[in-house]
Amino acid sequence: MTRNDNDSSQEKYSEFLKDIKEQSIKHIDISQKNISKTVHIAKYKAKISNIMITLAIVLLLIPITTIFSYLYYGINNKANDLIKVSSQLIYVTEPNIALSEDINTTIKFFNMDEELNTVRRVGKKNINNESIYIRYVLDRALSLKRDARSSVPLTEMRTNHFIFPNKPFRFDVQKEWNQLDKLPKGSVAEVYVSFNTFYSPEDVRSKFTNEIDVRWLAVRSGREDLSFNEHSIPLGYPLQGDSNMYSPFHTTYIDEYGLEQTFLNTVHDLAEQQKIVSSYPYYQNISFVDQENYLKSHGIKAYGVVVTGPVNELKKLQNDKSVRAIKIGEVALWNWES
Amino acid sequence: MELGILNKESKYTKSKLNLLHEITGWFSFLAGLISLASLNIGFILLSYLFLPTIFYVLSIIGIVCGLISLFTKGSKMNAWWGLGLNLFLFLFTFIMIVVSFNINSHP
Repeated sequence: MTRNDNDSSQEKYSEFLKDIKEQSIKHIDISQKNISKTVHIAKYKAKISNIMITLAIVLLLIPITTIFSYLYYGINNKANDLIKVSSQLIYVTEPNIALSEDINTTIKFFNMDEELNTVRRVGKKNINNESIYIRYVLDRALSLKRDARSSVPLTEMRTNHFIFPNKPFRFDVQKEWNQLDKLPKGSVAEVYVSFNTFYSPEDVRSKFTNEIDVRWLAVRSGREDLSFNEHSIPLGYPLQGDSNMYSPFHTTYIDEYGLEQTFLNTVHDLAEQQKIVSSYPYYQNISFVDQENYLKSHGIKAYGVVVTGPVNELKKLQNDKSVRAIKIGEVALWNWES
Repeated sequence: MELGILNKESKYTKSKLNLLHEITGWFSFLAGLISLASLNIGFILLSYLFLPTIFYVLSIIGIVCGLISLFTKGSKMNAWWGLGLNLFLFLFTFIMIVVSFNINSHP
């Protein structure tokens, strides 16, 4: 082998090495580019994933709390108990008032809104009385709002118009008789009648002719001796069945138990739910447990009644010696034959 | 040479499967999120407890995509989230129907 041959082969070898070096550098460049691209994409994906997971957790909060709220009100009949208590309270503490239409409920985050509409009977027709909105937080009534749906102001609606037999008059009774006297012949009225003593439900029914509808009986509950004024909430019951499905005096109950027993059952139910009753505004100091005990030991004794009918017939009450006072409620145009 | 062709084909199928896995996983998660957002909006603004039908259809597609993504190779995080959210929507609707029948249900 000559020296020239040796040189050329060395040159070729060094060229070959140079080529390999260049190629490997290129390869490294490409793979580094790929790696940085892959890392960039992975970072981007991880960012999006994190955002989506956070969003999912935030969006799950409302549905999960809603499920728990519904389970709270749905299990153990909590919502139905609250609705039952509110409708029972209306029937046994608000004279001549009944529920109209459905009761609407909306459940939110561990609170429930209830909307009730009430009517009063004047003559042969029911007229709108008020809308009641109750907000419950868990099983306690937090607020109660009343919207009048008739011409009578709310303060007047909330006033107790009965006069207890041994208590003094709170308003001018003669003025009420005069007002009744001046009402036109072709009208019907709602009148709160207070007696001079206590009567049994049968005696009260027998006092009135068929031309007058006896609507609601005010009953002695034992609380009246302590205090009885225009702010006192009377206890009583309607003297006829009701077709509203929410009514505790639905005709099916009346047919099964009779009026008096249905009333006692309702008071018993309210005594059992005393905690809920005490959470309602105006009802904090009313104990249905005490009232039930009083009714059990003393029986049902009426001191007043709400009646409605033609004005001419109502005027005749003036001759009834047992009537101590009257208070005129709503007056409407003639509807007695409808 | 045949081996080379086979390798190329398997590489091609592999990349296709990877793409399917990626797309179905992301779609499932996204479908669940969209339906959940719609449920939130409906509840906050209108107090509606139930979704419009289109979102239930979207959720069903989301569940199918989630299952596909779950049984193909690759990260299963999106598939699990997608499946979870979409199934939660159906669970929510079921619970609401059952419990609502028990609350204030008068004829």
